[in-house]
Amino acid sequence: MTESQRYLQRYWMILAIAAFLYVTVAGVTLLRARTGANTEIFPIFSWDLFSVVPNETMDYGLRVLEVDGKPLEPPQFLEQLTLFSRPFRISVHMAIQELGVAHVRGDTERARALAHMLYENHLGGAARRVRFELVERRFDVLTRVRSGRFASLTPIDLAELHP
Amino acid sequence: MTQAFGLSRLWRWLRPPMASSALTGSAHARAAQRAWSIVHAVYAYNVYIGVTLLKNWQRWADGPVLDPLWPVSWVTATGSAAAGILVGTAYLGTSLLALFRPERRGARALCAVSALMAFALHNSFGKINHTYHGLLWVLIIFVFLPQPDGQTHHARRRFRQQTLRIFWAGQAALLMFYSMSGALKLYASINQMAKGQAGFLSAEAAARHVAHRLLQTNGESLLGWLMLEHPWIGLPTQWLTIYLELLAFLIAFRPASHRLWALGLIGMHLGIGLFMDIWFIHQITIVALMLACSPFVREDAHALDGLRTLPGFAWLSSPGRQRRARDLERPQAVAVKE
Repeated sequence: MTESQRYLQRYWMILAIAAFLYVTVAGVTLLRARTGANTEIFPIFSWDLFSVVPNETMDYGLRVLEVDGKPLEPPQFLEQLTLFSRPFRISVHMAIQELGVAHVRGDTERARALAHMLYENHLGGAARRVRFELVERRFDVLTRVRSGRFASLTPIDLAELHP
Repeated sequence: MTQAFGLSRLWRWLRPPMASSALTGSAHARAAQRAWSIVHAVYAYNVYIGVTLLKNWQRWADGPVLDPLWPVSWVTATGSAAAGILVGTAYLGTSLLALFRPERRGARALCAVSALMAFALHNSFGKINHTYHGLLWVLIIFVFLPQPDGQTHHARRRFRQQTLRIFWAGQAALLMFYSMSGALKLYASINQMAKGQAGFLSAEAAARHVAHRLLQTNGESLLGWLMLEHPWIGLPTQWLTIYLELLAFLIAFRPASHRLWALGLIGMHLGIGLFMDIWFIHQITIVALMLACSPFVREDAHALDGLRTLPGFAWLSSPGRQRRARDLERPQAVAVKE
């Protein structure tokens, strides 16, 4: 075997091992992510983007009841309030989902850290104190976008965001 | 004078890259030369991103609360303001260094490490975005590009061939990511449709994705309304997306299709931006650089050559033309004769 053939063999072997390791780690994190936890090991990613089509969907929302002591009538979900920036940042939506998952899992420390991050990074400039309820929402995406209707809204916790 | 201060050594290090280019002559030499031009362009683009990150220094200075990823776990000690400015400066500095001396492995390695930290810090606020991932992996793979190790005929040829192989690995990694995404879409689609739900291959899938995204952000997109009013227009784009993504990795082995596939992937990202308001700007740029400017496409290639080697389009061409199109400068066909 010539030197270049040996080099080529080594090259293909290294590439194949690297690709296999990448796909394996990404696959394991994807399987673990199905439990609701954020397990992505940056910068390895499963590239699971838009694969699951939202049908009857469940997510968590923050329904704001009071801003700086003033009750909202009727209460509104955080993303609908013009008080905060529009369009609503997707990172805020994702933080709320993780907050919901942490709460349901009983991970109060993580839930508290996420609530603190939400307030400091996204809401602090707009209000001093935001009283809200964490709501589990079930809806069909097309029905909701066309009519605003939810299949069900289930409050699961009441809390405050403040400095 | 300059010698006294060690400046001559510094000057040699910062000399314009590839000044003593070994790349002359054959088509492979020209391909390797084109590959190095693209390597330059990738580092120039990193300089642009570095400047953009530094321009937003106020974001770090405001002291946002972090949820640090592992490459920047140390920021809890320094705070986001110091870390942001430190990482941003390091990333810009090493990108400049790699831009001026891309053939130095040390410069490329420093740039990859600082990019890893800069992108990790950018994603340390509760959500990981994926627009930088493709670029970052290309930077990591570029660390393995060869360094010129002599002026003999054999050394120059080996240098060119190693360049092309590592460059090809960068292209293959990008295309593999798309194939992973396509495979998961196909799997999830079959799974959902078996349960009687709308899957990615169903008529309403694109409209449902658009609706979901716009509900999450309470935002608007340029053409989202069109998809929501006429969901059926999404169907051909969904099938085309599956085709482009799932078979992307095969295209790594079909250089004649690199440009056409790049056009398809860029079109797909533009569609996502127009309908869903999700803009993979950096991914579009790295696809444009690595695939649309692919050094493996023959200089005299006809536009139809790319079409003829697309999976499923072989019937467009006679067997002789297919062979010619397939044989367009395959990276693995480049071999050193001892």
